[in-house]
Amino acid sequence: MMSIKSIHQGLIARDFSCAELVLRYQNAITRDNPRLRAFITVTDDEAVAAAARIDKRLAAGETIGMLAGVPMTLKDNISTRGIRTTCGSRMLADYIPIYDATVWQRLQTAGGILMGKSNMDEFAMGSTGETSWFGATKHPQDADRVPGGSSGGTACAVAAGLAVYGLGSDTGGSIRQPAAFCGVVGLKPTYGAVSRYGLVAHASSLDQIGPIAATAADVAMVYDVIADRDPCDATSDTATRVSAVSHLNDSLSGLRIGVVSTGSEWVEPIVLASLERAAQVYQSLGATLVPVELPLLKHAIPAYHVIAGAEVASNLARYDGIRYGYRSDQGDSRQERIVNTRTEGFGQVVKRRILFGTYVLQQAQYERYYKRAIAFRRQTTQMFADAFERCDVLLMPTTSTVAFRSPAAQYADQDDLFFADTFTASVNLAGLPAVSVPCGSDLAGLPVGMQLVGKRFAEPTILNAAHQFEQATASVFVRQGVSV
Amino acid sequence: MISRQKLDETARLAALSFEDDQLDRIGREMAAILSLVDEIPVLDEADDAMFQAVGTQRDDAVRPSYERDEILQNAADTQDGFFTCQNGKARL
Repeated sequence: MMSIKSIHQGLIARDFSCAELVLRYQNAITRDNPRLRAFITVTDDEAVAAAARIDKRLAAGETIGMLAGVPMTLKDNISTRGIRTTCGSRMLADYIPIYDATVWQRLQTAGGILMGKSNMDEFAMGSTGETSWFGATKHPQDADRVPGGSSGGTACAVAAGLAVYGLGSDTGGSIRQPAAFCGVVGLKPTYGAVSRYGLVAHASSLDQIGPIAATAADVAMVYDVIADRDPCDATSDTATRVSAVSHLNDSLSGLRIGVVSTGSEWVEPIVLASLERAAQVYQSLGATLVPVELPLLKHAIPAYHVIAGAEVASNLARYDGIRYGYRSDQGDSRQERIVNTRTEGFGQVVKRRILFGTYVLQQAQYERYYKRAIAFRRQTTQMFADAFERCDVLLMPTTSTVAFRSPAAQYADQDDLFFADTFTASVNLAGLPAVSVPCGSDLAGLPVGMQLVGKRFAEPTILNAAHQFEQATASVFVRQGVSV
Repeated sequence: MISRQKLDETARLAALSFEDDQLDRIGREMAAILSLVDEIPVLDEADDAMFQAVGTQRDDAVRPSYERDEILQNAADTQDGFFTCQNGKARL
C-alpha cells in the first residue's frame, strides 16, 4: 500500500509517471471492484486526463504539491460537476450535478486524481454498507462481513488499495465506523471545520466531510487541504485552522489521555483488550492516563435518532421528482405522482427515518421528543467540555465489535445494531473532532479500531496522537495493496 | 404505542405510502425508540447552541448564476424552458 508521501517522492524522482500510477490503480479497480462494489461510478477518462496534466507539469519542471497525482475517491454524496452523484439511491441514480462541492474544488486544485465515486448506504443512512441501490459493498478481507457504513465504499477502496485516500461523510459515525471495520484511519473533523457545500444533506447539524486513508499522516495531509472557511456554507466556522501536518511529530510527553470506561459492558472483549494495550502504548510514549466517565453516553442514540430523523424529514422533502431525480409515471394527480415517486425512489431505511422524523416534528410530539433531544444535546456538549477539563484527548472504542456478519439486516431490529453507534454518534452531537485508528485485530484478523476525540479544532492533537501510536506499533497493522 | 390513524396521517405528511403490515411494524419500532427518548434526563430546556458558535456569511453581492439549460438538465420532463409537474398528462 502506497502512502501519499511515497507517491509524491516517486513522481518527482520520475520513478514512475502519473499515467503509469493511475493505470495500476485502474487495473486494481477492474480486478476487484466487481467483487467488492467499492465504487458506484469509475471515472477512467477523467483520471487519465488528470494524470496527463500532472505529467505535463512534471515534464515542465514545475513543483507539485503533496496531493498532486495521488489517486483518490469521493463518497457518492459529494457533488462532482458532470459526474453522476447518486447518494446510493434510485432517487438520484441519474443525477449529474452542475457544480462541484467545495472539498472537491480544493482537491482538484491540489491535483487529486479522481478514480471514481464510492458506494455508500442510501443517503448516508446505515452502518453496514448494504443499503445502496447499486448493491452492497463487501468487506475487503472477508466476503461474509460488512465493510461498515455509510462511507463503506470509501473505506473499502482505501483498505483494498483501490485508492490512496478518499473522502467520506460522517453524521453519526459514518467515516469512523467503516474505517474501524476495514482497518484504515478515518477522521470526522470538528463541525464547521470542513465545508459542506455540495454535500447532499442528510442531517445538516451533524454532517461533516472528512478523509479516510491508510495512515494518520495521510489523513492529516488531506485534512489540511480541505479544512478552510467557505462563504458558500453558512455553518463554516470562522476560526483559524491549524495545520495538522505541522504537529505530526510533537512529543506526547505530558499529554493527558482520558481513558473512557463508560459503556464497556457493551463492548466485545477483543475491543476492550486492544484499547487497553493502546493506553499502555500511550503511557510508554510519555502520556498521562486519566480515567474518565461519560455518564450520558447511553442516551446518545435515542437523542441522535430524534435530531437526525427530524433533519432527514426536512432535508429529503425536496425529492418530489419535479426538478431533478427519479420520477414515477404512476398516479393521476400531482400529489399521487409525488407520493409514488418518493415511495418507489427511496429504500426502506430512508423511508423509515423520514416517517420517524415527520412524526417527532409534529406539534403534539415536538415538545416531548424533539425539544428533549435538543436539550440533551447541550448536556452532551457540556459533558465532553467537563471531561476536557481533566484531559486533552479522549480514548474510547470506535465500535463495540469487529465488522458485523453479512447480511446485517438480520440484526436490524435488535439492540446490538441500534446501539452500535453509541461511541461515535455522541461525538457528532457535541460537534467535536474524532479519528478512528486501527489498534488490533481479532483471531480471524478482522481489524479493531480505537477512537481519539479532541476539543473543537484539536485535529492536530488527535492526528498527532494517532500518528505517534502508529509509529510506536509500526508494521503491526500493515496491509497489502497496490505497489508500483 | 402510536395509533394506526396517527401513522397514516404521518405517512401522508411525509408523502410516502406503505403496506399495512409494514406500517404496523415501523410503528412498533418508532414507539420502541421513543420510549427510550422518554428516559433521557433533561436538566434545562435551553435551545441548541450548536449554530451560535459558527457562521460564515457571503458578501451581499450579485454573482453569476447558472444557465437555464443547466438547471433543467436533471429534470425528468421539461417544456418551454420550465419544469413540468406531470409528464404526459394535463397540467394541474
